[in-house]
Amino acid sequence: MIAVFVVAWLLECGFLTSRFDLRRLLFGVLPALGIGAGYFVLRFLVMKTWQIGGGPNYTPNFAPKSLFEHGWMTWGNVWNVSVGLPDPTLYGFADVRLALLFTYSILGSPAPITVLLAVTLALFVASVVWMIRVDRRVLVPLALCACF
Amino acid sequence: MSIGDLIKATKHHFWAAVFSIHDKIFFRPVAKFWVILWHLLAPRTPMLYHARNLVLLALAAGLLYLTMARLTRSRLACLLPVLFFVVCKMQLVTIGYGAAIDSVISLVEALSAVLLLLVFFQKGSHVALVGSYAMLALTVGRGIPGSC
Repeated sequence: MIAVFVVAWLLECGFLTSRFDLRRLLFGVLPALGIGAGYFVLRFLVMKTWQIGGGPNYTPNFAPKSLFEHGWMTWGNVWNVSVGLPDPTLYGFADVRLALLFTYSILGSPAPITVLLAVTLALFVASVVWMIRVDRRVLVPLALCACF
Repeated sequence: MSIGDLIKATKHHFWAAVFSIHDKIFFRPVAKFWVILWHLLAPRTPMLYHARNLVLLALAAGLLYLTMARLTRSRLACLLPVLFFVVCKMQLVTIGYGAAIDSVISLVEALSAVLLLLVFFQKGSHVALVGSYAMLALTVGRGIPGSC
């Protein structure tokens, strides 16, 4: 959320334009950074540690071991999708040509439909490019989307 | 410890519970505040929990529309994100998962923070600016709003 505020203030202050107002940017961004710093100080006082995360949870952990494990799992997912066995019996697609593109299973679990995912991703990328070209302020809700 | 014992204990140690550590790795006082407060005040009616989540999601959809209305004059551009938000299957999970008060409230707070910041940019209202930072402070350190 703090990153969303930073993006919003950068746009408001004309970042990368001739009307860039650094003083106004600091006026807007410093309170947001202060709120973040205040939270972490309070968190440290209660938890007695600056460490974030600590095992299999949703809090990011930037320790090298954790980064390696997540990278390894991501590669494993990509590998499974790329070489996983198609299951033509799923969703009534048995004996249908190119069923591989529409039905999939990874370790026995139905996986997302590859073609629809690809179409969705392409639509999303095209939409983002179009929106930014129309009005750069769209980066504010996009940053909000990304932070979740 | 049963939920009854938990409620009895938290009545006497409300703020200590709010600022306590969760699962040894999380420090989310605002989330705990809402969860404990709801358990203390609301009757034990499951339907009420689902209705609460539905109302909060409707509020989030309204805030999303108002946010977009601040960024574009196109009615279609305002309605499309709301449409995608409403039809997202994750909303059904959030409504069905009665304990999910934290994610929906943090979503409402995050959207309110961005909306109020945009109001400040456009109208120069310092009340809106203070409100946006207040909402930002409430969202810092929160869980991932699945409903987004």
